[in-house]
Amino acid sequence: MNEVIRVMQPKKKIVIGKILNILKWVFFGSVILFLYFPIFYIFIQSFNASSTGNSFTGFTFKWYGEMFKDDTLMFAIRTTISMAVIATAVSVVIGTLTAIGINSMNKSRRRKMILLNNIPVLNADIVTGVFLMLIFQIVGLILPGVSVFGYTTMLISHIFFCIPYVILSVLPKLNEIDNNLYDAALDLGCSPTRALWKVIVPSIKAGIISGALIAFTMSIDDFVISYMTGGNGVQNFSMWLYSIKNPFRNNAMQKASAYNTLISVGTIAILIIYNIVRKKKKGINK
Amino acid sequence: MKRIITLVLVFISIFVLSACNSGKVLNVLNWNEYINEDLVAQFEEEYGVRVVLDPVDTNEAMYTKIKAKTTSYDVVFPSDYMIHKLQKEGLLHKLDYNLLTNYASENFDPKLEELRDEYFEGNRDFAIPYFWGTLGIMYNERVEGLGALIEEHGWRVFFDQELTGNAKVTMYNSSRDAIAAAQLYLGYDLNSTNLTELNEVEKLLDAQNYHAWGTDDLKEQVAKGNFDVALVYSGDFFDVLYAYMDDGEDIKFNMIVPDTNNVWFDGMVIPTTAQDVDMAHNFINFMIDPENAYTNATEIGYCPPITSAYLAMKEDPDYADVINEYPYYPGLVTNGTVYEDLGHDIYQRMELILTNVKGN
Amino acid sequence: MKRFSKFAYPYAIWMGILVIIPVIIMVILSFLDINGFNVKDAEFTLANFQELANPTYYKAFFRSMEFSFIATVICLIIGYPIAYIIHRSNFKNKYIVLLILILPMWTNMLLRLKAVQLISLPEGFFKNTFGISFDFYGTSSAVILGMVLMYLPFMIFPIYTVLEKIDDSLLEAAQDLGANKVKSFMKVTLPLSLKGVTSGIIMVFLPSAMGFTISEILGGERIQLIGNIIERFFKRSFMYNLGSLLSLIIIILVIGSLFIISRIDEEGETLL
Repeated sequence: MNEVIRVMQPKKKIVIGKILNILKWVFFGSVILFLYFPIFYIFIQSFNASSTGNSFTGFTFKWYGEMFKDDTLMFAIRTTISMAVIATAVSVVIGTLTAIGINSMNKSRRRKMILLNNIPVLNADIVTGVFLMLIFQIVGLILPGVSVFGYTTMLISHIFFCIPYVILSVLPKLNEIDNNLYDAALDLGCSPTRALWKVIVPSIKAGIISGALIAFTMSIDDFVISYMTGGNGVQNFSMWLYSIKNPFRNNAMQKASAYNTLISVGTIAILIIYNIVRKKKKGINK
Repeated sequence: MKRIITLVLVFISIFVLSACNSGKVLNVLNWNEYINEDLVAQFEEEYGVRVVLDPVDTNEAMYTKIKAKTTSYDVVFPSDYMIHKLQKEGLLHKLDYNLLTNYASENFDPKLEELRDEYFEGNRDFAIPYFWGTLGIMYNERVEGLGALIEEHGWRVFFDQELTGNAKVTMYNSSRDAIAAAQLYLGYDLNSTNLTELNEVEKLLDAQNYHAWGTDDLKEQVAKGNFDVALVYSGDFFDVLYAYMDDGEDIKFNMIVPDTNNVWFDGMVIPTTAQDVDMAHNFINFMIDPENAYTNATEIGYCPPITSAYLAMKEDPDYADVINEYPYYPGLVTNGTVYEDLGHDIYQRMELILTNVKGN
Repeated sequence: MKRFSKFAYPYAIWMGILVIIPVIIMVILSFLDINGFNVKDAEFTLANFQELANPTYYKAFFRSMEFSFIATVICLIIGYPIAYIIHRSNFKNKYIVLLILILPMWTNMLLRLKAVQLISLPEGFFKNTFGISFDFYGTSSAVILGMVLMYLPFMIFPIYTVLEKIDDSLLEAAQDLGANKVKSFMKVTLPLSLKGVTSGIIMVFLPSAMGFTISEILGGERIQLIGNIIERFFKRSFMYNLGSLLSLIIIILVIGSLFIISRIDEEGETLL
């Protein structure tokens, strides 16, 4: 093909190049549109005044207000967010420490630990959910009369599946840092704990942060594992949405769309603010 | 930067702590869209307790949820045969009628009471009827001639693709009901334990290619015109009808209740896992107050077993026309069979039949 | 640094408990005819294994493999070019483009699936507002579309990351040695990007094969994948013994693939 192009006149080559370029961007644009199709629908329905969602009858903000009045929904939202925060915090601490531990192991032990760590990541959601549900049920058998399932069981489950992602983020960074830094700190009189905190942790900061972000995203969006391990009225947003059979009864779909739009807009806002703050800092430092 | 982080953390902690809800909770396991939520709110205020409604869409799933003990339910709303199964397995509390001050046997429809006594020994000790109904064939009126077809052929429309042509026929995603439709078509007893018959039912269902399987979503989709025929519970039709009447939307759907049918009732029971048995009784008591039963019936399309509530619906100007025109009262069915509990082995066999026939 | 290896022990124990004990329970349950955990009335039986010989199960299994294979191939065909386009583009801030691609992931998956479900039904919002109507609810295409929609970014990101790591001087060297654009891509870029491609394939194939939400919400409950059946047995039919047996088979397959991966990729970096 390239030979053909070289032989053709330069003008034609430019034209074909331009056409290919346009096709490339049309392709790119279509993929983005494809990914955003559902988001577009959700976004519109959050402002659609129609109570049945069947057509666009007008622009309104009322679903945003209705969302807060729906007790069950708000409880589910609070559970989702609080659980994501706590699970992320706990799994970041445990995950980082464990990653440091794994990093210090010899090659064969290390490989086995990584294999073990990969099990929740690769295992089907539902099988992990079944594992956890069975364990909690056995606990329930041993402690009769106690209602086991609830916030705690869901939280334990979330921590369980978040830790592997933290480890997966932190380990590569641990690989990259210079071991001598730690030894140097010890030589200079630091206690091991202090050296850990002041030397190692800052150098893997990027890994910890990305691990935290992944863990948070996994937790806040989780459905299957929460579905298997929640109970006694405790549910997260995904579970709430799943149990709604007719999306427009009680305007569930509109309220869910409003919640979602809020979260997306909020996240974008945070990112923009963060970027502006960073640029200002860079500006100051220059 | 550190200040921002601390602020954010403080904000989040407040948010987190507010998620820890203290106070009394009543866990109710009920069908989807099967209770007037304003009534529930009223109960919550009157008794100072938070009611958590956990929705479920089949009796078998109800059984699973109770046995799994993932939630300690205080009140559950199973159907007749499932009540009997739970009762036989010792999973229900006996009702204390001293706490059910609103109860009076005369309040309840005599036909239903006869049914209970005839088929379900001991039912009175464990359950109070909630709503009753039959199975129905709901259809999309926009499809020409569909109504006449169903009037003439009844249950056959679910099993004869040549007959229904391009119409989108859907089936209820519940083992007992899907199998019942087949049994009603084949002329078998709905309580047959004959394995040969069940195998034939399985083959028949397997041969069908339903446009979709569903539960509470079927009625809505038929009303919208996304599906054309659906097996529903009789009250589903009125449920959507009321909603469409309220919203002023066009009503282009209808329901036919064949005379050879299943008649069922749902009851309120208190499982042994109940954490607050007294409050559970209060809840049941609240629901059988005739005024409340009437309010409930005005929103949920099913027929209330409390006679005064039923009569009130018949006289209510908003609903009278609809109730008198369409098949609302389950007692109208003359050849109805009640589901009986067929034992755990058949329960499992039926569940496996459903799993087997749903393959594409 | 060796002293820190102790830090990993609690995690190893916790993982051991949360993985080994359920597996033992499931193995025991597979051999029992039991109603829940009623150990008193339980009977030893091989009936569960017999039941699994029923074609329903391996049909569901092959259907899962088929659907996720198709979805993975589609994601690869779309995802690799996209990753490449971003990599070779002159966007001032590539991060913004990546952000645009990741933003849909921050919308709750169930909500997106419900939206697709509502779009896939003929009568609804799109028909009454724009006049266009889709009718693909309950079809295999709907399920595969759902899989691609949910997991495409998981294919794009690993490939992009790996492409960015490729040293440009390698490409320059290839071109200096006379290779044209196509050849240098095939001989330099493609082989070096394979690790990302493998990551992407795993991240798309596994969740789509094992999931049940997509096929349930978009498939009109007609399309049964293996995940649907397992969910049924644990959440709707109360048959823990059959469910456990099926899950065990899945686990064996997952662990099997883990072993194969760890043989091929010795540093354990495929997922990192």
